[in-house]
Amino acid sequence: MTNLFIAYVAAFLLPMLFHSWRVAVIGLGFQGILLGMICIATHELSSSIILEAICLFAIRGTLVPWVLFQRMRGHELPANFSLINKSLWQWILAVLLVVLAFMFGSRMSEGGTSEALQVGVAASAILVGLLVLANQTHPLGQIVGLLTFEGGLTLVELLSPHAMPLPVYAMVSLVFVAFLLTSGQYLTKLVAITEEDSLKNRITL
Amino acid sequence: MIAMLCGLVPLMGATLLMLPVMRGRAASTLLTLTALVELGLAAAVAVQREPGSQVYVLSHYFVVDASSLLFLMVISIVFFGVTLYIRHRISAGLMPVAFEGFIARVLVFFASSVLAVLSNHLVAMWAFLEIGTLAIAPLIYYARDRDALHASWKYLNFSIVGLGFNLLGILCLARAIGGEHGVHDESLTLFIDGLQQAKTLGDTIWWEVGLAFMVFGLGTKLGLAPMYSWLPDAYDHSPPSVTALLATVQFNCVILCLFREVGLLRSFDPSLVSEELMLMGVLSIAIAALRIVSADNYKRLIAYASINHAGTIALGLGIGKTAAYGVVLYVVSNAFVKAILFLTCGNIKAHFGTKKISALRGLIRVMPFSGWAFMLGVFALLGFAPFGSFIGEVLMLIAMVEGDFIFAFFFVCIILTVVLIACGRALFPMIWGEAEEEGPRQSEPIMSNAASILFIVILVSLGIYSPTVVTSLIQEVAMTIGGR
Repeated sequence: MTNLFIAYVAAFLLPMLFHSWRVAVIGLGFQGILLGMICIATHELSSSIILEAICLFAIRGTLVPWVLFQRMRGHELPANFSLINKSLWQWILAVLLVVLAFMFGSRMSEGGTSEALQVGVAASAILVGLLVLANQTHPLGQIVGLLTFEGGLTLVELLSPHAMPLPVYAMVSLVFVAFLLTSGQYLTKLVAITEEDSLKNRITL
Repeated sequence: MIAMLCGLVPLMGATLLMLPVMRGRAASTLLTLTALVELGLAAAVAVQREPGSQVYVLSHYFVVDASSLLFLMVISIVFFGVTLYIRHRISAGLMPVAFEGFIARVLVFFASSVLAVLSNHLVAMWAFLEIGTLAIAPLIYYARDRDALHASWKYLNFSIVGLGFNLLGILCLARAIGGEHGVHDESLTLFIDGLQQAKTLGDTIWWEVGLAFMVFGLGTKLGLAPMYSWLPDAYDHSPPSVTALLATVQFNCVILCLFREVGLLRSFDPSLVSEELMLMGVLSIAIAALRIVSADNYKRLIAYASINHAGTIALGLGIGKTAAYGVVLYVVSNAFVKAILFLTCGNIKAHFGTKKISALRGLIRVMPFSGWAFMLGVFALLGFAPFGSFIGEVLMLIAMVEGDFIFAFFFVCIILTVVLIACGRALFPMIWGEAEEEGPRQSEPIMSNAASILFIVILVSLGIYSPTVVTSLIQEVAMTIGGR
């Protein structure tokens, strides 16, 4: 199980090293698949757990990258697209946030190594998501930040001993899908505006 | 079951809009009719309910208690007024031609708001708030300009983060009361009534952290400092009816959510998050006052005043006990104050074509109806008698002195004076000032101000004389947030 958590941390940290929006989107897909695997690995199998895992694979693992790739089709993105600013200060901040998150995890779950690890990973995903969101001016980067933040929330949800009633779980999944589709619409509009502006700048020059 | 119809009727209205016949006037009539039926249903729920009772519907997923009833009434009245206003805008040709989508989204937003108000499950309540946010966000850029699109996106980002923190808080609470890590406990519940019956909240550190996240998250959604920057942009760039819905219906739903969460945890420890709420309140009041002083846009100025109000509510909620009644009265009054002001702002902008305060003079002579409504709204905003907001504010100030919060008392008094002077300096010349070139007196259709007139009557009656039923309902709600 520890390997799954390490893989999850890698899935949201590694895309920051690559200056490519495609890697960032694929990273989100991996996060979704890993969430599904963590869901199965951390619970005793039951019909509700299987359903939850299927939803995670289908929505977060598949639908998220598919919607974002569809929305970005035919649009240009700056060649130097990066999830956080390329400065040493930002990298130090990112590492510091991850360390703080794991310290928070061990403070919250004294004695429970597995839980401490899970809380640490969830808290780092939330903090890194917020860091990306704060750094980004491009809407795609902001969506990646928001979805990383949401992924962290899902990890906390998986940690919860509370089994969500089916109607509530269905509503939560529906809300996520609605959020994804709405963000996709915004992405198209905001990217179109950005491209229009850069075209105007080129003509002026 | 009537309560459930309150949530279903707007949804049915939104579904009916898919029919090809529901275009143009038919769509706007459907909206007004839906709001009227909604108001009737809310009144029927109020008549049916026994004082002090809690009626559960649909396997305890929804509840009709004092809090849900009060807020259902408030948002239904405001929604009815806003639909009258939308109808006027449509008939005056002030809305783009294809407005059916706009109406459908407004109805979905309202349905989710009603269901959030009635919800008895913490996660379901969160989900309804999210649905409402997703439904209304695209309406902020209904005018299709760039600034509005950016404001709308900012609103969505902040809302998702704020509500995300709220969900995080709820999950931490579940972890606190829950059992073993990784094992689903079927007996564990996030139904509010179930949590109220719990003897203990379990692991202290988890629920303390959880409550902090909940308050921070809902504070973001209310526009409290430090996460307030979305609010002035969203309120400024939205169409007036959308601003009114955001500032009243959505604001009140989030306040109710905050009341429920804080009230629930305060039944275990009455002093919980008092300091955090007071800090957020004081910060918000101070920031809002600074921004009001430098504002030259009347819609933005009222948006900053909304942050000020949210801060005052947080401060009152932090004080709790004797301030609780004042807080609830202030919340209810504020819904009507903001609705009056934002709807009137729409009339003013439509006539003068500008939102600049310095460009406007003699409003009361050029647009007498809107001018009077705006003037009374500003008086209520500043906490003048005889409006309900005045009584609410005075009760909170008395509670500050009684509770030995002398610093908070002086701070609020100073800030209130600053806000009064700043608003007076900016808005009074706009209302009464002499213009170099004053346009002709404009005849205003009664429908353009019908909602504002209705809200002013309610505001005055809340201040002068409110029926015993209303007073006891407010008292019941005040008790749920630790009132005495």
